[in-house]
Amino acid sequence: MLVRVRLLGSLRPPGIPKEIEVEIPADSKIASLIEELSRLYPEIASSLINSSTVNLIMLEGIEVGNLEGLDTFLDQNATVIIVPVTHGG
Amino acid sequence: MKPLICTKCHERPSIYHRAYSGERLCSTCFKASLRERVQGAINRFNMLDHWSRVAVGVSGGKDSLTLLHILKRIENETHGSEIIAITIDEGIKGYRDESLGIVERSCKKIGVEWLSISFDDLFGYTMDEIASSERRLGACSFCGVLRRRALNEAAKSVNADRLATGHTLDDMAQSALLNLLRGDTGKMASLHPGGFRNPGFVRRIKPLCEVPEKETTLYSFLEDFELQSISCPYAGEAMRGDARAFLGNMETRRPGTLFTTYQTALKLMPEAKTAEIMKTCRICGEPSSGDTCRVCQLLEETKL
Repeated sequence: MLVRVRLLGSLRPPGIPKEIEVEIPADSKIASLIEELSRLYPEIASSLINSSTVNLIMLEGIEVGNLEGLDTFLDQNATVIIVPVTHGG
Repeated sequence: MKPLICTKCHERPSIYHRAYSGERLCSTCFKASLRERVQGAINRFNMLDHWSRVAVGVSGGKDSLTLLHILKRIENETHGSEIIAITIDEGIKGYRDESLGIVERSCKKIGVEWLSISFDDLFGYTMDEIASSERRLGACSFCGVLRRRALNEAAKSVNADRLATGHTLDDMAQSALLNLLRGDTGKMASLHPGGFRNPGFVRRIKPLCEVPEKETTLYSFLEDFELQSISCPYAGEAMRGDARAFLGNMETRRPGTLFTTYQTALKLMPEAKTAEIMKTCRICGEPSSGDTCRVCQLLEETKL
């Protein structure tokens, strides 16, 4: 299934459009999407998967910590926005 | 999956779960609670007087933009203080150029006066020049000391009686832990969010001291602030990075760790701190604890 993703601030790799479409298996969770993004964009992998830093992951306007966190299931055409927490004061 | 209803208004769907308090908040209640948290800290630490002239250090990052935005709103509604944004241009090509534009546009949008002062104007060198010089200390050590001086100079130049900085709960907890790890308990007092009156220094206040960085990020997102896309090329303070990683892990596994660390630091602070007896730097004439201030010591060391 296709999921729309926006990477904000320093998470957005140079030359990558504002919104990207990522193909992931049906019934995937947020964790699988993060893994796929890290594979597609290795230059930001360390910022996406970091045990000491929790980026804000907004699924349809809701922070995933308010749902099931990384175990939240994604629907076809879901919109996910990832905002870096630890960049700049 | 449908989110639970906001635990504050009991009407709108929640968008954020505060793991450390158990609250689930809608966008409106989250933003209101953040402003209340800042107002609470301002009151509790007597940060402002009526009609204070507050210089707000704004780097263009999410924390300082959140601070500026919330202070402007709180001050409009309550104290009637004056707000002026100040930005220090360290002279870091690319990184600072982008953030100067963000600050200028943000100030214009909310109607705040803005002043930018550069390292080059104040010290005769840009950070890029200092970083490329022969030196013993890391770039961040230079930048931190020079930026503190520059902020004080900028605040004095606009006749401010307060200098507000965007230090968050995460910064406070990290500094507290670092002071303990370094055995520097004397420095714990400098963490006081309400600052001190010291001759030659504009009183520094930290209104975001009880706001986690994750929540300044969410506030910035909800308010649609411009976010910096370029990271500082000199970033990488090893020891603070370690403290950040440790506390970040602890907060995820044991929500509330940041608050506990910060509150412990407050308990360790002396009840009251009197103004330090300051000398005058033999080179620049600014207040100094020794014969030569730290700024002049560092600039001598760069051998530029």
